Amino acid sequence: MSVPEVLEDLLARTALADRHAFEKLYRLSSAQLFGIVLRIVRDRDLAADVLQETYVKIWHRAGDFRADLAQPLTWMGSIARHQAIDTLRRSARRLSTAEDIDEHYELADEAAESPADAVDRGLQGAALHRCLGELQGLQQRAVQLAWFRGLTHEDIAARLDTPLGTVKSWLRRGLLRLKTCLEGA
Amino acid sequence: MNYRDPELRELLSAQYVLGTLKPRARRRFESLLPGRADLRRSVAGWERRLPELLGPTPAIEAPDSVWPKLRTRLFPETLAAAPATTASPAPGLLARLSFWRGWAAMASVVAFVFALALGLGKQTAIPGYASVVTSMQSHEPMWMLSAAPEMDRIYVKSIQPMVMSPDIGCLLWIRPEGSERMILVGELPWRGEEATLKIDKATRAQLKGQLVVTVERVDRGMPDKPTAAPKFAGSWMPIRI
Repeated sequence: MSVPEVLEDLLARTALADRHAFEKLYRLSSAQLFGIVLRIVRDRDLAADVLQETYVKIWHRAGDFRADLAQPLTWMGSIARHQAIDTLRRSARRLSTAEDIDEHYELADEAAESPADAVDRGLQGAALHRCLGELQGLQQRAVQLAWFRGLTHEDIAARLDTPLGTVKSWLRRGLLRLKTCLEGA
Repeated sequence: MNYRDPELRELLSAQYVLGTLKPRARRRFESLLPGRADLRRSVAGWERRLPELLGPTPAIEAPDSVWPKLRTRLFPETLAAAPATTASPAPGLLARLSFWRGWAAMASVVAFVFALALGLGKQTAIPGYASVVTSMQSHEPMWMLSAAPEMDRIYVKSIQPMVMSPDIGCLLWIRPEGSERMILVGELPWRGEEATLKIDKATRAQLKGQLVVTVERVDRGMPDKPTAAPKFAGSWMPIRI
């Protein structure tokens, strides 16, 4: 069985309140979800709390997972992202975090990629890269800040020193352009 | 807001996945998701696309403390059960909600069995097994099932009619005791009607497992294994009259 199939099976059993399956699911997926959460909240203790909340939701909502709509990790990752964003917005810590860890993550991304993944990504990556490249510099940065940092429109506007209306417009037009480009890719 | 405008739908889905919707807008959007397949498809598309576009996130080992905390929070009884001498006494049988739920379900099954036997006369044997399949979320009973001791057929009655698109079906699966595998038994009625599922010889011996029901597409034929997580579940109860 492939990893997604194993995770699918574990999610199905978790939906039946199978605790052993849930523990296995945690063991197999927690590093991925912790990576997503830590990237947004950037504080290990806070990220650990977010991860705990995320798995509480996964335990209760496993029955909602639809294998025909999403990969298990995508579905769980989405729960983790929203949990991290909610926590971040409730916490004042983000305002005091001066350290920029983008470079650290970019290096880690390259190191984490296997040769096989790199080949796969190379095949489809060109089209994706071209689509991302269609966005102007700051427009692209706005999308990245929202995705990787969980920043609100207001946060992005402050960060890029740009009027709020402009940021909203960048994101709206940027996302629609990405969609059009990806459909044609 | 007009969620039926395709461009707006895409934009809202993208912003929902990106995380830039305001809390109220997000809650409103999330409340629409269960009833709107088009929105769910659009969200799933962005959940797939954005990580592909923006790059993977590296896996980072979670602190060791997370799992014990999670276990204590979700399953506190497993920790309380260990030191039996200090654990507080379990609530009496009659005080447990699960007892009354089970009692109500069992009473319904017995009534169903008698109604079936009376209605169909001598042609029907008193069944050997019965089950109430309930929603895993609301615990609402959805189907009553009964089977003869030889398990060659299962009688099913849908007791809570559902509203679904015709290309979607409710599939009954058995997970045999001690097995990880799911075996498809058949498609269940879901409009309040009754049906009989014939069971082939090879499957009969494995029927005494856990019953689960998935809701999934059936217009392209029956799947070999579930393509969606189970929504409903039940267990066989032996009936001796």
